[in-house]
Amino acid sequence: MVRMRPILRRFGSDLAYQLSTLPASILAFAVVVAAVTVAATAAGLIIGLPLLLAVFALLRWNARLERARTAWALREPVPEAYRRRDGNWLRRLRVVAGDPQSWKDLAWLAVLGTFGFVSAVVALTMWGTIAGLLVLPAWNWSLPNDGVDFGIFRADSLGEAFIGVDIGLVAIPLAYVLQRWMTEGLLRLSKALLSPSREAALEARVGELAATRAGAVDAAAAELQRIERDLHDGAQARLVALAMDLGMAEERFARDPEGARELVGEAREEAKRALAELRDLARGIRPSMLAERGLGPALTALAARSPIPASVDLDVPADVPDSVEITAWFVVSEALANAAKHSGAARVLVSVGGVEDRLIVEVADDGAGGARPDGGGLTGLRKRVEALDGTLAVSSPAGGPTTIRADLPCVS
Amino acid sequence: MRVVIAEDLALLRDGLIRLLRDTGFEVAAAVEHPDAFLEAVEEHRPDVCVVDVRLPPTFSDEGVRAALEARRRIPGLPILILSQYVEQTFAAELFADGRGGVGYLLKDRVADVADFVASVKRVAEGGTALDPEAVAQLLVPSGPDDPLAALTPREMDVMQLMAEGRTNHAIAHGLHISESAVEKHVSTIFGKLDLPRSGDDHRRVMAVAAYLRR
Repeated sequence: MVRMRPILRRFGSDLAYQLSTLPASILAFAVVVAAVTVAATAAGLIIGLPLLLAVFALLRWNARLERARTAWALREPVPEAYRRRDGNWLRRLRVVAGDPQSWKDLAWLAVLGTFGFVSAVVALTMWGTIAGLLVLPAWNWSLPNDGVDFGIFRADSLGEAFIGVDIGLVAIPLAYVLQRWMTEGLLRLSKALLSPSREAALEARVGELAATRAGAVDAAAAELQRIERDLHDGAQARLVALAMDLGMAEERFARDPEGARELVGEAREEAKRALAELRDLARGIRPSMLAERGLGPALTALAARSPIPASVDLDVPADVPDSVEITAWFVVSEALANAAKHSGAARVLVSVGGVEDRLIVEVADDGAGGARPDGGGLTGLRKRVEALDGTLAVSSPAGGPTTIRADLPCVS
Repeated sequence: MRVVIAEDLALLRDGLIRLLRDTGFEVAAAVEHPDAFLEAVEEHRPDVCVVDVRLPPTFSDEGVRAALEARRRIPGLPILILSQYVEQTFAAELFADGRGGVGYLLKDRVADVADFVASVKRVAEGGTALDPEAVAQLLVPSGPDDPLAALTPREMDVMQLMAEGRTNHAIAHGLHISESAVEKHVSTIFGKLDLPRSGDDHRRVMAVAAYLRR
């Protein structure tokens, strides 16, 4: 027994695809014709060259639309990878024209504008005819005397109308299979033509990795600079002041013991502050809680230290790699520090959870908003996150609230 | 003696003010920005300036730039530079005009109050003060042919103290030898390095500094 439910679902999605193909193919046909016409006229003229760039932009726009439609029909994403365009328009034109994907896009649009159109028209006519046949007895009475002509036969009596129903029933599986083939063929071809080749995908990935790697190097250098400055302005300066106090105390002991004692007391305070600053600095480099107790307790401790009351909602998966843990910790640390400094918020919520093989870190406050995603701290954070192939999203409309969300892949 | 201080960290600025007042200086101005320093120098015409190498806005070498500019405007203005690290090029730039009245010390030296104050006074009087660590870096012979390699260890000690800007008297005191022994060593050193002899302490130091810069 053939199971009907999957077949019905299949029929539905195929029909929906064919329905969407009708307008899509008309659009693609128009775009291709317009592109070819404009390109043919423009290519010969120097002033026509910028126009070519516009033609390619139009093709890309349509190809993106098609990628979205194919992804919808296949229920899986269709990746996109073009070569990087930069420099003046002439350079850009050369890159775009030399990108095989541009021509694959054009090929698909041409196929869609012709065969796609035929396929959609065939499918719709087929089902329209079958639907008409199935209900023929119901509207047979309205026909003029000579009945309805289906080419192979004429139905001019109710009996013959019921034969039409039989023919319609027999045609359903045939039409289903034909539609299946057309849909499958179009989808396979569109996926093949619209997805980047293996080479192009790798090329795009290399570009992305080079950019994030440079970002990681920048982030590391900025971090070193910050540590050096913190040391110079903090502990080092305190130690110099401490030494100065002790030196002055030494000079004074003979003539003014009380004043000297006071200076020694100040020196001791200075030493304590230097120690505190060194401890904070060490914590900023590699939080000891993280190494000793893991991400959950380290984040709880971080939230407990926050000047703004912070609540935590933690569901940390067991096997988070070290690099992800420390980045998550920095995201929360920086976000809490920013909230305390700028937001004027009354509450902060830190939530961390695993979604499939990703760690999602979110810090939301109820403050005034207006955080700039390109500000120094957030840029550093973004580079850190991107170095792990993650993404950092900052939402901070004026008037608030601010939400900082990091999405970190946990592949070790 | 009137002094102008340029130091961006309030903690150290206050410490310097207290230390210098405590030891008999009059602090005419204490500023944190190089521009303010140049204004203060023109206004107060101090006997000596104490300047941090790292000043705003970029905290790289603004202090040295400001010091050189101040000495361009007021030739011979005595300036003592304080630095967290020994940076050879800074020392070279400061000593380049051969005028004296220049010092370059590590910040740590302020802890030895007596020594530090003596250095400030020496610079104020047109002498020099070069940090022992900077001198030690300069005194490394570049190869077996370097005349420095021909100095005995004792002569090296004398050379070191001389380059720091100390007088014969101070050198003798520091090495626990007689002043005449120092003079003898100095004479041998000048002979080995082929330097013009001079009885004047300051000119002698400049000759040594110039030699070390070559």
